[in-house]
Amino acid sequence: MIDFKELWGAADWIVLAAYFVGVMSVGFVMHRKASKNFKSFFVASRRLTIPVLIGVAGAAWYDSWTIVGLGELGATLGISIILFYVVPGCFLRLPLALWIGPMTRDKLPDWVITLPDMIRYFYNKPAGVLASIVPMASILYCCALMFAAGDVLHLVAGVPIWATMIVAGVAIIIYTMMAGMWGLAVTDLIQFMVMTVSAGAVLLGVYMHFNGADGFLDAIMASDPEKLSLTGHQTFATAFGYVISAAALYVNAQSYQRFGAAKEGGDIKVAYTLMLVIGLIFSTAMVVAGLASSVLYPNAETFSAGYWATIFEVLPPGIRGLFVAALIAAVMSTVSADLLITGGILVKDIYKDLFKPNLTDQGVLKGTRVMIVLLGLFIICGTYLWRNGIGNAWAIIGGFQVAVFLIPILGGFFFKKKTAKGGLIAITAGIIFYIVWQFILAAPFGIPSSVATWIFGGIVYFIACFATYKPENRTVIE
Amino acid sequence: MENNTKTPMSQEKKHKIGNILAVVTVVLSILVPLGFCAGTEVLFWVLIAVNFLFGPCCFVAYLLEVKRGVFAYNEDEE
Repeated sequence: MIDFKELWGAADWIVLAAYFVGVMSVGFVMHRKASKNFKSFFVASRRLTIPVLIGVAGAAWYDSWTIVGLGELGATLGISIILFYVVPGCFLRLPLALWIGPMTRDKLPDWVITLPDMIRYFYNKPAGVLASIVPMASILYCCALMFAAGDVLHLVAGVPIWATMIVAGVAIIIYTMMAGMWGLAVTDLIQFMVMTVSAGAVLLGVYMHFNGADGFLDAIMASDPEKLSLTGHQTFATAFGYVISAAALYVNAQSYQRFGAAKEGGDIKVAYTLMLVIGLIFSTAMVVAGLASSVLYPNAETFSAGYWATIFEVLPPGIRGLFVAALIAAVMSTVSADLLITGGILVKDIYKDLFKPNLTDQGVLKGTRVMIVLLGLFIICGTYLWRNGIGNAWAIIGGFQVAVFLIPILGGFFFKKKTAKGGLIAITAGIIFYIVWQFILAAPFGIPSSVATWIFGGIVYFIACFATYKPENRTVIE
Repeated sequence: MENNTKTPMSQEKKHKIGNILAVVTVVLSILVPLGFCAGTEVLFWVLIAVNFLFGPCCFVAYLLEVKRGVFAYNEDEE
């Protein structure tokens, strides 16, 4: 195994430092623009156009998991992961890009700013309050991501994990708190650029290392021919699991917030479909990196060690720092987006709506900034002190979001006979059913709680909507 | 300074481009896995070039829009 610390040099530090300075300065530059009112802070005054939307789409849909997790799947399953995960992921995102995104921007009223607002618009206020759970759960995911970033920088540069978490965490808090969605939009664009350039560099590095595509494919063939088969090492259950996981994007508060930040629905359609093209190509690059690591370091102690050893072997000094920056960029963009969304929802949809209805717009804005700082500190401390507990909590709550809210959100957009009572009954029943199935019955018959709740919640939704439907109350988004 | 000499693209045109890109996505989704099976050099170079160029191109496009005043903002528009 290679000695990372020997290869990590001044050029890599300079690249990493330049990245941090770049994203921090965005916060200061965009501060004034984001301070007009809550709408300017939360959805960038609905002014984002195609180039910026591509960056924010990339940051929302292709996170650090795409860089490392997809690489690991490439290393173990081969190119079949492209056919079974990357391609279905693209197809499942197409409806969001083609219809749901433009509808969110063009057809929903201007007061709909957050995901709970949207649920409230589709159904009623109690349903909207229940939907506040959705984004809050993702704070737990942020803790896991922050630890992963710290772990990588510790592995390659010997930096203590706590130091990475503090530096990255404070940087995220500052630019998110100062510039809100305006800052995120630009930092996402920078982060997206860092990610794609690094992916191109890794592909080129792999190509040069193996003396061409043929050399690369020959090396994989010699190591495990199944990895070059379109169905190699896949089982139906795992493939189905990958497809289902893509459904999580339909309840992703980040997606809807970014749709709402667009200038027009047409911008969303162009930016997000274009992002799907580049997403396919970027994801494939990560699968190639994983495949290369399985050939170069088949006996590495962990996948991560082998993966990063491969990256360091195929990339020159400076570009290694860029690739590490790409991973940190992916983590930072996800964490900053979740901080903004959760902070905004806690203050606007819970504190203001439930406890202080006369809170002014500037009050909501200030409160959101304070909440971003508090949540950021929680992420930094929580990640370090309660990592395992947080990981377990995310595993439970992550599936819960999709299971409970997927059908009500899709129904809200497309079901002509949806009713306020039907939506509220389905969401409430879904939450209760999930708790019973997961914690009391311990997921019987081998059916995961998320799948069982999905089916149960869907049936309840349609029965409740039909039972409470009155033609005079019909609401259609047209 | 705001420079509005360039006419913004219409909504219809954007929707048409979006539909074309959706078709491109579907076609690429078929070609990329098949390209790997065929072991083609061209695929590798396409992947390298697109990854290298796409992000910086978006960033340049963003800077051009800033220069054109696309993000210029005044409170009356709220």
